[in-house]
Amino acid sequence: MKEIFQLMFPGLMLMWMFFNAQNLMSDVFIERDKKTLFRLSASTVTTSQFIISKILRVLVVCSISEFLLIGFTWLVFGVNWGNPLWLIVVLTSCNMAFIGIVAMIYSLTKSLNAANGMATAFILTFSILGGSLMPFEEMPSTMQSIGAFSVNRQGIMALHSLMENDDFTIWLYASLRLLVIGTALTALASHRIYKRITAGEML
Amino acid sequence: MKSMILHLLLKDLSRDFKNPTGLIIMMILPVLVALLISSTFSSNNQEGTPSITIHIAVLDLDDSFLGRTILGMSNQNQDGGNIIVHQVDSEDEGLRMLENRRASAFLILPENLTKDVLDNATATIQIYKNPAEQMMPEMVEKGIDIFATGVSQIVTLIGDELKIVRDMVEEDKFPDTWTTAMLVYRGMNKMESFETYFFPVILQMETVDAKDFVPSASRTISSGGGS
Repeated sequence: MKEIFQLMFPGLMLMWMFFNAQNLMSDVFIERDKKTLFRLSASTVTTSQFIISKILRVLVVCSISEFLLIGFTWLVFGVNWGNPLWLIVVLTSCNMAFIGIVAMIYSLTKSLNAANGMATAFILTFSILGGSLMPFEEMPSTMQSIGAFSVNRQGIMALHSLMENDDFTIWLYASLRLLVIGTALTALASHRIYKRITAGEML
Repeated sequence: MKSMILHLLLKDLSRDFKNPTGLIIMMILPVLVALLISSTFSSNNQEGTPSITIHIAVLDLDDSFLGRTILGMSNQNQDGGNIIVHQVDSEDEGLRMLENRRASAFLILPENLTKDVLDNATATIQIYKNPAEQMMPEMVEKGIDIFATGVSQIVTLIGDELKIVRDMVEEDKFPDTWTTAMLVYRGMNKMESFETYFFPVILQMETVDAKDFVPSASRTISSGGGS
């Protein structure tokens, strides 16, 4: 049972953290709807500070949740997660990728409902194709070819290679890819949200 | 600027941790789902290998060697797999077992199955698969298919010798020494033609734990073995 748990849990954890990131990022729209963003804009808080704090919030909450889960599963189920330092690197890069994708979705949509719907669709698609819900190796080759590019697959691959003490290049390159994608998308999304707030669209 | 960002961050974090219900649910869900999946597909087997139990209802109208062989399949599987054969007295009883989901498949072994097989006449084993299941009935069907193919090939190879054995068994006297010796001699002669297939074995099976599984894309296939 422990082996199956160890095989399935990283993918499930990443999927639910993806949903967590979506939930937290939706706060940008919620603050708009509750008019708190309007009040913040009238204060000394700049738009950049507001956006950076939101992104950092998602990063911190997701990281805390992941480490609580990792600690719990290590203690209770004896799951071996590998070197803690490299684990921090892998999870931070996964979180950045999640933030980048959901931030991009929320920066492109006009309403909270549309953003939530689109984000859910993206997350489920990435999760299914990436092997969060079923073992990636059991999927047809066509789906594997597509799923290999999903952020979930890269994250699961990195976590499994850490857990099995594999060649460090596997998790390192996967983390770098996730970090680059996440950083690029976050920067782009932040720029779009900044433009929309300063243009008064989100006030 | 940094202090303002920190201030905003702490404000949001304090809001999150004042009402952590959503976060807790998001953390519990992956543990629950993973536990559910792993306990569904794991077993109580001490070696940690999955245990599958297949229930098969059998109506044996043959009441001879092959029928008794199939009935004797119960619990003979190794590596944690279990086959439990339930002998039934009528077709209705077997079909009722399928409807009540107490069996994955129902086999009907026809009369004179063993006799027909030894006489190279066509014999048909009927199999009813439980429509409510997918995997187990398929496994039974494949198993019977392999059994039928194996028996057919054995009869083709040493059918005459098997008939002699059957006649010897049915006779109510001690078998003749010369007949027995010739039977063994002829049987061994025929088996010798298959020696290269068994020594060394061409096709081998290896059970690998899930944690040692290597995806096919990264597996290297090494050529070897005898021709």
